[in-house]
Amino acid sequence: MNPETEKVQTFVTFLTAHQSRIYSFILSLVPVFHEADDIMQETTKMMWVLFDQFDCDTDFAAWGIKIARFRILEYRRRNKSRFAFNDELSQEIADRFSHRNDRTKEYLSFLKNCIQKLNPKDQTLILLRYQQNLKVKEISAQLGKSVQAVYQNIARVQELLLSCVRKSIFLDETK
Amino acid sequence: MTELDFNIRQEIRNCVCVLLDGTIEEAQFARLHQLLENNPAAQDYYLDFLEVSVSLRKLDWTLEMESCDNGILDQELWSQLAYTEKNAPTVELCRPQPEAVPSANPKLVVTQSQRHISKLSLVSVFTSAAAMLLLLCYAYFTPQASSEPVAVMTDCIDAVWGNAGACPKTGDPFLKNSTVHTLLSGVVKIESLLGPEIIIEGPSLFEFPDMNKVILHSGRIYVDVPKNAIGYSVLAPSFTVIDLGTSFGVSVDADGSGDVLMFSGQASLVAGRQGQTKSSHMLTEGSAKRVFAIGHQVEDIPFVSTTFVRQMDSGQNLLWRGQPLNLADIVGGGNGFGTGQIGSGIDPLTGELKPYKLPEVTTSIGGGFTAVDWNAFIDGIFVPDGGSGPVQVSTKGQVFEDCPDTDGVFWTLALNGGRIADFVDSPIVSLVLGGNEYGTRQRPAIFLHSNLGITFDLDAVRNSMPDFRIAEFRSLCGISSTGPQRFPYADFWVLVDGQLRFSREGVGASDTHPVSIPITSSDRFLTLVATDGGTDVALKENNISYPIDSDWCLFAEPYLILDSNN
Repeated sequence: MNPETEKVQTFVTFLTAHQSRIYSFILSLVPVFHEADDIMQETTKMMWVLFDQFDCDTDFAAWGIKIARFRILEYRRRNKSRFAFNDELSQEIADRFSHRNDRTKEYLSFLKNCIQKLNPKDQTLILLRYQQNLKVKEISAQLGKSVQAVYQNIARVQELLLSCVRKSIFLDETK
Repeated sequence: MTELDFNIRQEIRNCVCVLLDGTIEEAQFARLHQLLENNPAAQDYYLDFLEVSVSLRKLDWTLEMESCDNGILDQELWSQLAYTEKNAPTVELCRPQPEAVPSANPKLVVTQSQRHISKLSLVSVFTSAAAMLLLLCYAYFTPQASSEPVAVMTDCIDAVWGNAGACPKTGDPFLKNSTVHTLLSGVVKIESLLGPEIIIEGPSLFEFPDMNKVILHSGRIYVDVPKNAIGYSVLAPSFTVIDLGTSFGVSVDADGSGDVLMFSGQASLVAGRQGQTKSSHMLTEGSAKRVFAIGHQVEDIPFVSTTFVRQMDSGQNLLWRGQPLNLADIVGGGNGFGTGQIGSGIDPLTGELKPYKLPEVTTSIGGGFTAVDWNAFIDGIFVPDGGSGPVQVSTKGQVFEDCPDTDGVFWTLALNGGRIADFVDSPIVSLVLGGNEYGTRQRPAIFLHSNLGITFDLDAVRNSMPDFRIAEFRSLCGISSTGPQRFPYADFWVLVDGQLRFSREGVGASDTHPVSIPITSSDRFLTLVATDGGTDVALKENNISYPIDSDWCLFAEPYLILDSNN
């Protein structure tokens, strides 16, 4: 295999394994999906450009997060969003994030099981939102509920899922 | 880490959901910023909630969720099901339920309701037919209904309509000055476009002359008016109720007499036909009045809080008239409103739901805290023994600091009442406290023979019923007088988030003690514990003490008292 191909494969392997954590970090500081998606794209590009400088024995996610922090600052300067956390809060959130474990694989498995435990109405809501990718306005039109009520119900159901996943993690850790 | 207040968590997640879409308003974002600043617990919750959102987005739904695709994604089926589960069984909360199959999911309803239509209701329907004829004539001669919508139906359970033509479905609007609607049976929820929420219970006749009022010709209606819609009115044949920031119920009989019950806030009651005011009265929370059609006299009547359906949710087949949440029902696999199995309970070693069976051994050695994963309302179960170290009482690691030293053994499951036998050949008896039988549907009880503790997750209750607030835990504790009379002697404890809120030590056979514990929105875990009372007063055989012997401990009528959040 030629070195360039090997480099691509190595990068893709690292990115696949750690992309979720890097994206979660971006979203924690820029909690708007489409903006976080843009920043993730820019971060990934920069990570590829700088990949030669990365030491494969070190933490890829931590390295990616450092790069993401710069991209976030750059994005904010360019876009001047009204909905940006101030520097102090951003730092606090970044610090809290750094203390969290990465449990992506098990988390997704627990989440799948927890979705199965939802009642049909709540399952429908989650599937409309995340599987069919409907906008909340579209969901509210279909369900005959106000947009605000749909948001509140989505929040409620996601809280149910969070409680269920937490319990699953507890059970798993105490096995 | 400090447990975050439920209301703050609710605010954070509501803000985040809107923010993720980029549709948040400035004031709401500022509020989120304020909640998160200098608050590590809030930041941790914010990150936890984001993790769920990210993970839901990341799931490969096509490959991983095939078992979910049991018709839910079928667009035609979904349209039919959209909040009108017409064929699902319903829980009628005011009446005792027949024995039901326990469900692992407390939110599933598995019993058939027994529709009971009172004679009065039937008379109302038949006499209303005459009124209906008059109203139809009126409708024929009045101007064409406007096409302006004034309200929309947002939910219904078992609705049967008497209207000719198309029957309203969830999502359908009610038009200004439309015909009189006849709801023969079932319950519907309608939202006025100005904000008030109205629950109508069949049989009822009603119409919407405009956005700001509803005419109730006969039947039963509950109205919840937000602060920005003050002035909403209910017009009855003999009186009018004008809201002043409140929730109230109105029932109208066939002869035009009716009752008004005030659940919160204030309202003005004007007795007399339209334009012929006889008297006016201010109604305040907790008051109730009857207006007589003849003479329009007004008198006070008892306030019965369970008269009206005040919350409904077709998704959970829930009709709430103000009943408390029954924790014994939850122990029996139910949803707290009568769907649990009497005589079923939770195994302290595995956390599983099982039917009662006389234990093969007199004692079993307990383990540590066991999480219960089949029921979101129950956090876990444990065998308390303070002599073996800190006693964990929740999945959050909270401990019962003052737990006494016990034998560390237990006898049987934590049970949703039922009938119990002392040993293999002894008679199976009911559970009795203070001369009353408990452990039945009418009088539930948790049978918590020492040494056992069980923890309920109040946030799980709040999340499944977002329109409710938990106000209080109430119960009666004591030892069943039908148990063996050898050495009944036990201690009772109630904790909230690991903190002791109630205790009675050295309870004997004839003692009963009421329990009343206010619950706030920041309280997360409620733990009930029964311990063996020590070895001083205990059965002794061959120099061995059996302190748990005869401790048929009950938490009778263990209720979470609910209040509407509106």
